[in-house]
Amino acid sequence: MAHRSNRPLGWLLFGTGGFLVAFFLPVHVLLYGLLMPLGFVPDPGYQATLELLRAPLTRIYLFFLLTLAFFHAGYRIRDMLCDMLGVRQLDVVLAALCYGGAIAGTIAAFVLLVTVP
Amino acid sequence: MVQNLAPALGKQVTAMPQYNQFQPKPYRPRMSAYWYFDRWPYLRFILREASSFFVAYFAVLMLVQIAALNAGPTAYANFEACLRTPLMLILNGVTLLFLLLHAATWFNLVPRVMLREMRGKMTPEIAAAAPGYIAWIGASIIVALFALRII
Amino acid sequence: MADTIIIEVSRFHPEHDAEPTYQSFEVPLRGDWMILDALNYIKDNLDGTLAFRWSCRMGICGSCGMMVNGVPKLTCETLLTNFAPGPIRVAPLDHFPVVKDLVIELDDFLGKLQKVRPWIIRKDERPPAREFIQTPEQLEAFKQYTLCINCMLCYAACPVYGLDPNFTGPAALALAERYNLDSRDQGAAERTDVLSQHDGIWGCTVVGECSVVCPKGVDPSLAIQQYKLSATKEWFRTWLLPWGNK
Repeated sequence: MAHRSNRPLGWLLFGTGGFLVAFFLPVHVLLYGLLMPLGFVPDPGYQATLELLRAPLTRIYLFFLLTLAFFHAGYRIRDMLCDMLGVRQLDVVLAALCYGGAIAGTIAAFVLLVTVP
Repeated sequence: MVQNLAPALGKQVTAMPQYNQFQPKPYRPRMSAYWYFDRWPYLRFILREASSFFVAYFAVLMLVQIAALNAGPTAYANFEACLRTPLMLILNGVTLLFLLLHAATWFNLVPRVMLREMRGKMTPEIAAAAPGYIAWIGASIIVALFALRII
Repeated sequence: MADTIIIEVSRFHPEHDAEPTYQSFEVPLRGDWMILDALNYIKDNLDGTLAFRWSCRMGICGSCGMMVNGVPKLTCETLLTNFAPGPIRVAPLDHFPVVKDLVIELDDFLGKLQKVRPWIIRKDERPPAREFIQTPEQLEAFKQYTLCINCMLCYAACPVYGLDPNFTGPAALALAERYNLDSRDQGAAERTDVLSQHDGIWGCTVVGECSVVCPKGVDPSLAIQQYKLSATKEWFRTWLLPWGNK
């Protein structure tokens, strides 16, 4: 039996992350990236946003959203660099970089969300 | 592929050294390094894949936002001031466009595959894509209600 | 409409050319002619040395695939008048070695076809006592993927195959899925062993052009994504239930 690729795991994370990113990330960009800085919607302010962040539901939601976003992006960036640069021989190196970054992002998200004052 | 040529042609049939009676040389085209500019569908594909860069960027930005919230009111004020600079506004605007591209291409493609695998037959494109879009709008409204502290 | 149209045909003579060049021919612009008819006109009247493959001239044998203005098409199904006033560029199918003029080398695809084992695999190879019963629903599960005529337009459209000839490719993977979904087949695990690899289904990055150019509506991209789903389920099954018998 040939050695089976472990791609399915990465692909499942890519797929779940893709759904979460599609559902939730655009509104985050719209609100926090555009509407609030431009003043088109009222900014709740530091205290209210911090209280929102403190809620366990928020932290769990953000952890899953960010972790799966990183793994989604990692899988796709790895494939895209292979396709764009035509360097499928470097696939292992690219995979290490992309998933290394995703793991680093996951750890950072965990640490930040656990240490909310 | 060996070809049996008439003996009168002799061993060398051409001036090109790689080609002889026993070793015809097919032409092997090389793909251009900028192949995705050759056709619009390829460029559309690369743009869709490039949305992942912006996903990673904004996820990192959200980490910075959380870090700023953890650090205190001044840090968060500095973060928000940074978000108001033209560079960040343009960058986030572009990010939003790429995320809309990601969401649209995702809902048009993925649910149809999942339904095909589960149902064993084709679902009409609109019937497969619509639930995704509706759930997207619902999720966005819920997140907005929380973010704007209406609930 | 003009009487004639210019066709620029890719010419390549392995005896004395380092790379292909284009040669222009003027052919009659008949309303009912396909590109294949124009090529046959060239061969019969203008230049008998032009080499190209064709057979059924009705879109079922899959022999006449060529690049027409940069898009892979079956030349027996492509109307000349669609390109009026022209000129039309006809080139051999992308991503394949060119033997001569418009003739490509198929060996790679035929090897891939063998690799996916596109036949009914049964655990018991003895002839069955009676024919296999299959309901219309079971047939519908895979019937779309049976329509492939092996014309390789999808390989010409797939940039992944162009970048990496080791990639198994759309048609071969769609045919593998056709047999995996066939209720009479018992070889899905055997095929997935071979195909759940980096140069098998996981090489596909869902460009989707294969499905766009397919002349028979096979939708190989859908087949491959379906295959990814079932291969992922199978992968989890092997990890979570390693003692499960195959």
